[in-house]
Amino acid sequence: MSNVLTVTDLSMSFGGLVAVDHISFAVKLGSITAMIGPNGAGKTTVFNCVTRFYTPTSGQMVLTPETGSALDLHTLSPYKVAKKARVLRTFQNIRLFGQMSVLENVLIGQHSLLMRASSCSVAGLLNLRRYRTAEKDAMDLALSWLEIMGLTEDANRPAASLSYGAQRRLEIARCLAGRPRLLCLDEPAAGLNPKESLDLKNLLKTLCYQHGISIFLIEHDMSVVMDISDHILVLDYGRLLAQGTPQAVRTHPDVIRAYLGEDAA
Amino acid sequence: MRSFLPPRLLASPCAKILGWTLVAAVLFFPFFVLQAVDQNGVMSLAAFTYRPYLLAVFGVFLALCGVFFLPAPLRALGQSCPDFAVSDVQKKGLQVLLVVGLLILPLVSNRAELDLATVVLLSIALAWGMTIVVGYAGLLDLGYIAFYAVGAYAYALLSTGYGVSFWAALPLCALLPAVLAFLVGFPILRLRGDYFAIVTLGFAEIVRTLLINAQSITGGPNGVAEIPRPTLFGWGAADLDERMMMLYVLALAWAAVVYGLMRRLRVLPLGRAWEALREDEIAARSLGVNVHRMKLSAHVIGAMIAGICGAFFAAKQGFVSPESFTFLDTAFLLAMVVLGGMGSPWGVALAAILIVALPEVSRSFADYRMLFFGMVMVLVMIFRPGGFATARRPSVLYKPASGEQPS
Repeated sequence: MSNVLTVTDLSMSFGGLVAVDHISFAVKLGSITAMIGPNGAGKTTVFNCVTRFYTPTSGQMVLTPETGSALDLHTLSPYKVAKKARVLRTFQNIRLFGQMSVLENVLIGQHSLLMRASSCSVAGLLNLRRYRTAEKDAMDLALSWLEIMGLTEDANRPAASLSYGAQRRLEIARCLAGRPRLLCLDEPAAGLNPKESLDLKNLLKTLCYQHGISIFLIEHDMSVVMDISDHILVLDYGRLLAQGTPQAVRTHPDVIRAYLGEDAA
Repeated sequence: MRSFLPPRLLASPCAKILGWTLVAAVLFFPFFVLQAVDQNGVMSLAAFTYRPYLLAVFGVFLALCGVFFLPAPLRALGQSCPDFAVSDVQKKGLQVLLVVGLLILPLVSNRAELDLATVVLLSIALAWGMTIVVGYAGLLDLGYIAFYAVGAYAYALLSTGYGVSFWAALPLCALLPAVLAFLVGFPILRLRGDYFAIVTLGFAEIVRTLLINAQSITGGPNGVAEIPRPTLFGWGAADLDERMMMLYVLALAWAAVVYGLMRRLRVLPLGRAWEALREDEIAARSLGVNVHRMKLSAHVIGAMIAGICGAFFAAKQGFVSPESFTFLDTAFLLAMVVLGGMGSPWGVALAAILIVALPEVSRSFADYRMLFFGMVMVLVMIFRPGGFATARRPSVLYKPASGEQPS
């Protein structure tokens, strides 16, 4: 399997604080890669670097799509990471467009595509057929994802009125509508009850193995991480402590030391 | 609570509208029916001269108030789609009534009323333009009036100085504010929230100060006078009545254009992106929305609308001076947008009527104008904190192919 994301020697420091310290890893195409580590280990910082919300102090991040040439994420502005590289992300504290309806939220996920179809609104204002077709396709795609997420019933409701679990699912659906090459999920199981996190596990497996979407996630819920991940990265104090299959990571002495303390190792 | 009327009738939208219309009628009664009379230095109230037409306008206005003051729970008919509890047929009826009313207005009203109607229509169009910027894109632009001023002065100076006709000047009156909005917006749209508001406030003051001080070009505090009135194929210049009719028709047409534009933009990807970045800029960016460009487009489109409104204003007044473009005017405009419920065209129109027309109609109460204004503000804050029309209608609706439809 080839890599979809290759990160080499990534560092990010805020003033004197080194949040991410020279880490290198890769996310394989069509696999689920998880990143774990104690609070403050720098996991979200890595996410923010990859999605270019932060500009890394040093290092390289290359996205290699299945077809087409490799993209250097470093040279892209934040919105282009989503538009051109199609690296899409969710947030640790859910960020939905609360007043807008569920369906509208998912349509925003297809913004760049629709914007192009409406020729920056000219074709849209004139209501040309080209735009109408694109709009209909976008609606169909949005509705098909809502169907998979079990949100069809709520399509016209304001996003903020959904339950917590449904909001998490909507945030993922919104990303999926943008046809992600790499889907970055920041703690997707946080705040979910056991049944919901079981559903989430199945959902992520479906997305990865049936829809072929590469997934990169941060998660604290070990039952989720160990069950579904193909590859796990362990971060501690900004450094990459270990990486490998769930089995290898589980028994890695450094990981046990970081999580359980010196004596346990 | 016990009632003599059957509960089903009470729960019907018509009954509710009637009920609230009654409340609105009591509230605005004095402004329409009474006038202050000076009797040897003693102020007293006397009845207005009876004008059936005015009463009809009053009735329509009250009915609209009724629709907008409908209690929120009633709106949420179907849980999935909060909307007015007015059926599509009733809505169509109201719309037809409105259009017919607006079209026959110049035939039945006197000059003062027609003039007032023109002013109201232009204010509504301007407030709608500002709704795009403030309501949709969520950019608190406190300098919006500056683009209005630029449009007004552009027409005033082009026509008086170079003899450019109204129609030839109109594109320039849109282009000039747009270019200005682009140049100013490019750096300052990177600022957020309060900082953006403060800078735009400063920008409006700069424009106004410039208009006052660049005396050789703008005429300074004296302004520009004798601005030619617009004509269309030679029509509209014969006498005062024809001229006023022309201005009214132009204002009406322009308001209709702005209405169509804002309604259409809202359901396009552009409008949805505006609302998305108003809701959450970071999330919008993470989904590939070019936040800066979207903001810039809202700012520029808003400025174009303001510029053309300004040209109409200059043409209507025949005179412009910096006094018409103060911060107070922005404040009133903002009040229309906020009172109307950010983003709702009809709510904003109603608020514009309330703010522009009521003080004019109730001239005899001019001393109490601000007092009344404050009272309305307080009432709206208490009873409708989100503005007249709070229920946001989604730009697209999911309609299941079969089964019950959310209405």
